[in-house]
Amino acid sequence: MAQSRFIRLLTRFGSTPQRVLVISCHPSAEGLIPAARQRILGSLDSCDVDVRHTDLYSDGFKPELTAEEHRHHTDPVVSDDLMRYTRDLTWCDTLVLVYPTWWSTQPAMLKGWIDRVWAAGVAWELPNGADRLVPRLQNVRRIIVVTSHGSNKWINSFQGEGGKRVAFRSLRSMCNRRTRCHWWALYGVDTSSEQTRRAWLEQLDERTIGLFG
Amino acid sequence: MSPEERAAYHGEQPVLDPMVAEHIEAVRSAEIIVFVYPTWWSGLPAMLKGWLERVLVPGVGFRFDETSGKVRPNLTQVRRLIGVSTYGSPRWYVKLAVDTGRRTITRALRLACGLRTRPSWYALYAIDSSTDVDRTLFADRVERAMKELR
Repeated sequence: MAQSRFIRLLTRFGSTPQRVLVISCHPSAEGLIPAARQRILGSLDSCDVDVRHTDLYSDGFKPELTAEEHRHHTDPVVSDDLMRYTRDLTWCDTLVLVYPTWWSTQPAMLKGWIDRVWAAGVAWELPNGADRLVPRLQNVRRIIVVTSHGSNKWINSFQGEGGKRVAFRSLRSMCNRRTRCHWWALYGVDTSSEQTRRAWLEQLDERTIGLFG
Repeated sequence: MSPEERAAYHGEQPVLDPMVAEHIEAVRSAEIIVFVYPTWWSGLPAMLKGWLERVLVPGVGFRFDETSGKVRPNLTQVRRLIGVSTYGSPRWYVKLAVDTGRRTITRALRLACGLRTRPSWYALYAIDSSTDVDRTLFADRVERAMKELR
């Protein structure tokens, strides 16, 4: 452990700190996901990284892609109200998504952030005559998903782990070819004990510090 | 889902918005539900995802079993779930890698209806490179299927 930390410090010597963007999404201030968000932000605070954090609910993000945006969806134009989100996304090298899994995928609020912010000219482009999107988010080298599932792992496997597919396949396909993915999820929250939840939160601390500390 | 709705979600009265109440009435009286939407980022658009979250609340879309606390189906009157969707990606990629939207409806939502509910799917893949003929054929296919609905 000590040695690996030494090597990590060596390799990082002279390089700029990692840039971590945390996007969190939960309507209330209390609960498991808000607690997880606090843990992640607290741990990142103690590491040598640059952090930007956006909570979509407290930001009052509008998740509906507008008719206007849809009409121009292949034009690389970013509207003023999305500019800040776009800048953050093209700035970061690590993207952390913190959300509860509802109906097997991301909440509408977070899906709206994906629908609207991961737009043409930002996340991808479609050159004339091409039939495939060209990924543009070469800066994103790591995607971390922190999420909770009400039901157990079996049910979620049957449902197809939609949230995982969106994050680690669809989103990742617009990032760097070597982007790494981390799935830090808790299953069976509806029937879980206080102890299980606390252990999971503590694990989040360890994992965050393990990666960035 | 708003903070107020989330706070009320597990309570006696999870429905706050009268518009949502109207949608719930429609869902309760439905035997067939048809979803028509474009697939974005392999899933449902945020607007439709929000509909699932806000309309299919406990007591409507599912209920919690009183003893075990587990989720149980509550849309047992729904006989069929039908999806009509368009995809930017080609079929092989969608089938192999993603298709989250279809799974959300034919698996996650189907669990809320019960396993006797029959799902059907009508999809047009690779629309960016599709021709007018492809699109017309797709529209005809959907129209025919809807006419034959039982």
